[in-house]
Amino acid sequence: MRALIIATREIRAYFSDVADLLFGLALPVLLTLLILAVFGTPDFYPTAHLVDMDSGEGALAFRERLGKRTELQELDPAEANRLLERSAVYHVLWIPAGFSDSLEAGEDARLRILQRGSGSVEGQVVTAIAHAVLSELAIEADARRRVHRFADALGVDDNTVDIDARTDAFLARESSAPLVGVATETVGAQPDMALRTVAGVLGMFLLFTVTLGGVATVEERRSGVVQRLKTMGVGASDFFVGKLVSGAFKGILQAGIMLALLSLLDVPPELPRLLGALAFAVLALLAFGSFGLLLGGLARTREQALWAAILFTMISAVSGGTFFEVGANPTTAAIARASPVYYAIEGLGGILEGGGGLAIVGPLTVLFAITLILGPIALVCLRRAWERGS
Amino acid sequence: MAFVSASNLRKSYDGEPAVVDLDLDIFAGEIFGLLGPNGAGKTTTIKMLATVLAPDSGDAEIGGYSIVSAPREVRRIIGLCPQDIALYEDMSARENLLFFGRMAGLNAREARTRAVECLATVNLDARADERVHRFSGGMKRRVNLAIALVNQPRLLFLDEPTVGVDPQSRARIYDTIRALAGEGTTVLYTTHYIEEAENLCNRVAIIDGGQIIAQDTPRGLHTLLPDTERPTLEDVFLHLTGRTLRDV
Repeated sequence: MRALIIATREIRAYFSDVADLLFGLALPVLLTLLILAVFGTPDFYPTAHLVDMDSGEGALAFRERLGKRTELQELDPAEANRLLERSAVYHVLWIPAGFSDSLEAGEDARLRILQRGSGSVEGQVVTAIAHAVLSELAIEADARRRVHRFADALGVDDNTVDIDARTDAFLARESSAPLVGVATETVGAQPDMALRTVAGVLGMFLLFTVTLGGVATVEERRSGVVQRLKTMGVGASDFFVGKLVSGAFKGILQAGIMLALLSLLDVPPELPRLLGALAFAVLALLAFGSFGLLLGGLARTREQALWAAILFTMISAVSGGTFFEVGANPTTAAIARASPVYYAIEGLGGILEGGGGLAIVGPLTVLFAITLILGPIALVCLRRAWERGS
Repeated sequence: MAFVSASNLRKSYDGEPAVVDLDLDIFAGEIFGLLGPNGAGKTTTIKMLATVLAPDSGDAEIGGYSIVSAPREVRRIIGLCPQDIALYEDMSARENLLFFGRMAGLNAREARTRAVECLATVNLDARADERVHRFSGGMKRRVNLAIALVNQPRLLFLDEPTVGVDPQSRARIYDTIRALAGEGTTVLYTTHYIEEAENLCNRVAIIDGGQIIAQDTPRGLHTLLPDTERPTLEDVFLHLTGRTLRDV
């Protein structure tokens, strides 16, 4: 009963503190909106910066095809140089004068790519696309030349048969249904960076909520509240459970609001997935809450607890993959496995993306183990503080 | 028969003795002052008697219950007003009283009633629903005291309850303490203000180096300086504890 009264007091204090509410509820919502604005579009669509000094047929064909696969931004030469100079853009595709004539004649038709450093990931993607488009154009130009040579050899009259039109029709058919190509098959759920990042932000704020709860515990120890509670017959276990329950409640509220926001914005997850994610968040909160209370029992001063909470949360959030994909690089992937936020992201992200089942067994097991190990240790530390009366 | 009877209480921190074989008797309805320089062992003594800290050895009986073997029973009859403002400043005075009342084992109705009574006792009933962080230092001290009264304790521990308090609030706290003692509450009071102890306490013990070096009524303590004309309690205190600074 006392534990529940302690939890109720904490929750009421939380709702009556505007700063707490802003930090705990408004900030994660704002971050979520920001993330959705940045990652809202499902596919990556790179921007290609282009200067066309040629404007011939070949250059036009190149621009048309590139425009279908990228967001094409045409620049004049001076502007392109200025933007590159200021690092406002990292790459520019430069079609030199005479490019179309050279392409048609089968001569050296070379596209220039100006880039700062490695040209950024986006620039590298655009370069790869430009290479592919140029290859297509070169092959097609070669095909036309060969057809003309064969037609000449066979004595076909260019005036009775439109050789170019027929060649283009064959090329178009080959382009729409190529004999040689790549067949892409999607295996499992579609990884969604937006959902992953929302899961990461949620994990980060859940961790913040409970670690900052640990700071409040240190304040209560230092101010004499713990002494007072002890003389009133309140046990360390009552206090521990009360804190854990209030931390879990605040975290679930945060999780609920962010997940509800996702559904309002028509981001994929449906109600069962949202409820699954909420249930998973409870387990994550118990694991994180144990750490928060460990901090509350161990730290000697408010500042110590505050810095430990901030450092642990930020390092866990960053290394756990809140702000970038950690799985692609073996080193970051290995480091991420030491972060509790990583398991929150894996679990929450997996559920939101529709993975569920085996996909969340790993994170579930790890978070459960953290709770089982850290929970009793935190309780022992708190009991010691209780015995010391501070 | 003493309401509080401590014998051979001993407590050390990391091998440093804080209280050494302390014996103490306090009678029911008495305001008993514990005077001593910084680090003398006042707060440790109060913490042991209030069951916050377990003594390394020795025992004390409060209302017939041992602080070592029956701390739960002791906790039902004591109230502690710690040296620091031990409350939640983000809550109103009334909410603090309600919360700590429930923590002390009162049901919701009892806690509400006691909150009203205790806030009236410290003359804060008009400001009951204001958040404590808006209060002056003196008002916070009065809420701190009111919380210690919420479970109607038979023994009240007041650890320097008037630190940083203006004369008006201090006078109000004295009146409250005298009224409580008049109703039969026993009070153990620690202070740095010797004049305060002289005016308020029925008996005073002077503690130094973790040991009680003198105890009597304030007037009785004056007789320890027979050669001084009209000695004050401060003269006696300095005579017994010396003039050496303790916290350098």
